[in-house]
Amino acid sequence: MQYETLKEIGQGYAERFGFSMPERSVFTTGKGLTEETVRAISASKNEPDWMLTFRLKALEYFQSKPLPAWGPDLSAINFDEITYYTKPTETPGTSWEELPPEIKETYDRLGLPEAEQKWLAGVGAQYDSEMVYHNIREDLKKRGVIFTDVETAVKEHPELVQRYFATVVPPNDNKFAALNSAVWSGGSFVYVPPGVQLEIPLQAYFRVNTQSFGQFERTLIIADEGSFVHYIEGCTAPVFSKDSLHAAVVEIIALKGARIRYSTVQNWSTNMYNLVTKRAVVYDGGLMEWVDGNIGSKVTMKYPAIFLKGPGARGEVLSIAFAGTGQHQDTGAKIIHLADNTSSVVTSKSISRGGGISSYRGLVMAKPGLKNIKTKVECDALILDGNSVSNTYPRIDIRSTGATIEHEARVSRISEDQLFYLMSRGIDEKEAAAMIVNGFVAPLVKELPMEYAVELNRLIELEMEGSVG
Amino acid sequence: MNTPAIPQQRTVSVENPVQGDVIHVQAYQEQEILLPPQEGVVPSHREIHLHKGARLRVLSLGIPPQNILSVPEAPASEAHPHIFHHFVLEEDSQLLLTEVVFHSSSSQHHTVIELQGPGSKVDVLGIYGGWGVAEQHHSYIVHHHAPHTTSTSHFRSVVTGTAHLVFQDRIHIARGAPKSDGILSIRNLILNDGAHAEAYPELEIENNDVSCSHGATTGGIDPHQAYYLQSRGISPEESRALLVLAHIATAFPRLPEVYQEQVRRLVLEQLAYAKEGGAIQ
Repeated sequence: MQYETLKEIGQGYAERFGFSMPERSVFTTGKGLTEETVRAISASKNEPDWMLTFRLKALEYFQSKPLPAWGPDLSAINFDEITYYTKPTETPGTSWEELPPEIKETYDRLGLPEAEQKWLAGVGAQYDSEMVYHNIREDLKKRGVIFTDVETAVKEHPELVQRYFATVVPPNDNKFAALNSAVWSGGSFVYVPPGVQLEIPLQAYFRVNTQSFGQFERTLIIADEGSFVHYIEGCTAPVFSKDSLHAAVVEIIALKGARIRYSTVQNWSTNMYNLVTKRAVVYDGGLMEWVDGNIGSKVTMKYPAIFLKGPGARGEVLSIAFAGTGQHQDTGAKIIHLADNTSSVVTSKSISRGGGISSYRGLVMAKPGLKNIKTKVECDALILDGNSVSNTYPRIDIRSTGATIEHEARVSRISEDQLFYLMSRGIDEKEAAAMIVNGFVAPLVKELPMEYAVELNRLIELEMEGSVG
Repeated sequence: MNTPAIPQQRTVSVENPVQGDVIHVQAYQEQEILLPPQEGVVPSHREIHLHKGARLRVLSLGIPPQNILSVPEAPASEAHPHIFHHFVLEEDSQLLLTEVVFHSSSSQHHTVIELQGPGSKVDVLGIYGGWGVAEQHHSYIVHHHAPHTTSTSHFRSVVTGTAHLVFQDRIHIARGAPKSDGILSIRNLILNDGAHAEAYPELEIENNDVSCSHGATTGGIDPHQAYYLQSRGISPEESRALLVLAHIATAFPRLPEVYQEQVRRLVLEQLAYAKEGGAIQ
């Protein structure tokens, strides 16, 4: 059976996102990673001593830890061929006009300045190693919202940074968190004061322009009591023949009653290793929502985690992965219940085609003796042809009578029964197939901001015509 | 129907197969095996080969003869019997495997089922109980190598004391196995805090023309269900007993009556054991 309407995942990527600008830098450490590289990065950022010490310790962890023995094959990554730090401009700007022309053109082509005006409260744009642009609406600044790059935060808000930095993801957490901790550069720092609710989202856009490059941004979001913030992250890169590496660390702290929604549309080019550590800690009555779309990259290993630390805290992970030719999407979610009356929902959907591999890898854990814990995990996978692979590796670890954990997974192709039913109602086969796939991803797509939903639908090239909403 | 008729008379059950030997169930034969025939959990390694069209019912037992509280709790370091079962199924053969393991010591169970012939079918039901300091590790893999193969695997457990039960169960459907169906479910019931159940229900699917699903639930006795029974005039004690029995009752039709009675007794003793620990509300 041919589903011609379901075109190749990522089709048209080269034209729309895969372009590259001439390489530019005001400073670069060159290839390879040594103690000198780390010192050079730190010196270039003019950092306090405690940060340099932190970086050097992390480098030791990175060098001593082996590559993970499980999951996708990472042996092709040549750590000596990667450029770990490239500084594109002297200082970050707050207006697009200040940027060098090729960088400005990149973001114009990606439509970022336009989006900022229309529907965003603030935008951060990272180009290779540094945030080149950061801006937030004046009125939010006045209400005490901080939205800046982490380097600036280290200097201007040392008390907040020192209090929370690396408390959620310690540098020895895993090999790639250690690597990030050693050479981190860029990323957003967000602080929302108590009671402040941001009705429209903040966005960060990550762009890699250099070949064989490693991007290591580090994001830290703190939502103080009773506040709300929606943070969106997008990323693309040119299509190069050599592989690049993206190893970010994202740390999130939702204090009492706060709500944070973190949406990602990961659309790296298919020469990117995307190995990311994302983790949130939620205190009393708080809510953390990860909305995670993985479309691009060669290999992605990403398991957004939620530690439910305070009573009544809730967590939600909604993730979707598309694995096309040559792609391995190893994604999932980790939920750790550490307090009474906490609940969580994980919904994971994946589509594999053209020989792609998608895997769900997840963990649900509850501390002994807790009362009233509820978790529901649902993984659905769709395999569109006979060459593709779908795996599910969940772990459910429970030690308390007060926990109710449900896990369900289904792997199938487009159901003959559903196709037959739709066709019996006069819809032709292609359209019916597109409609079923569309319905399959709908729960996630409707959670994304409108622009991203449209983008996601476009990316998987679904024939939307004739589909009923 | 052009398949040869299956002989109706049953062969005598193999009561004590020699360790390490391969048990062959010949083409179109129907057979029953009881594994292992001794009481309790003992180490064993069985290779079982089902030839074309063969049918085999296996009852694999590991239950103590006495009252559970009278069984001395062996320290985790002492007893580690490995129980390894390897089944190979040829074309159109069928395996019905029922496994019952209740104990308070340590054991490791490895079951590998290879559906090598088209149309082969396996139906597995396991019920497990662990109390005291029991450490039970179950690794279970069904490989679908051929088209039109079917597997259903259901596992239920009851965990008390500081027992730790691990279920690492995987369905693998190879590229060469279109039109295959696999179902896997794991349900763990925890009777007191401190009891520990881990489930790894895994799927590896390399083919799109299949249907495969798994489900796993873990938790204590559902207070809503207990409340409902109590609202119908059943005492709290009795309603808990009913719910725990219901949890494993699906295995009863597949067990000879003498074992049904034993399992019922074991489960109720486990419930009492959990209560004695004072942990259950």
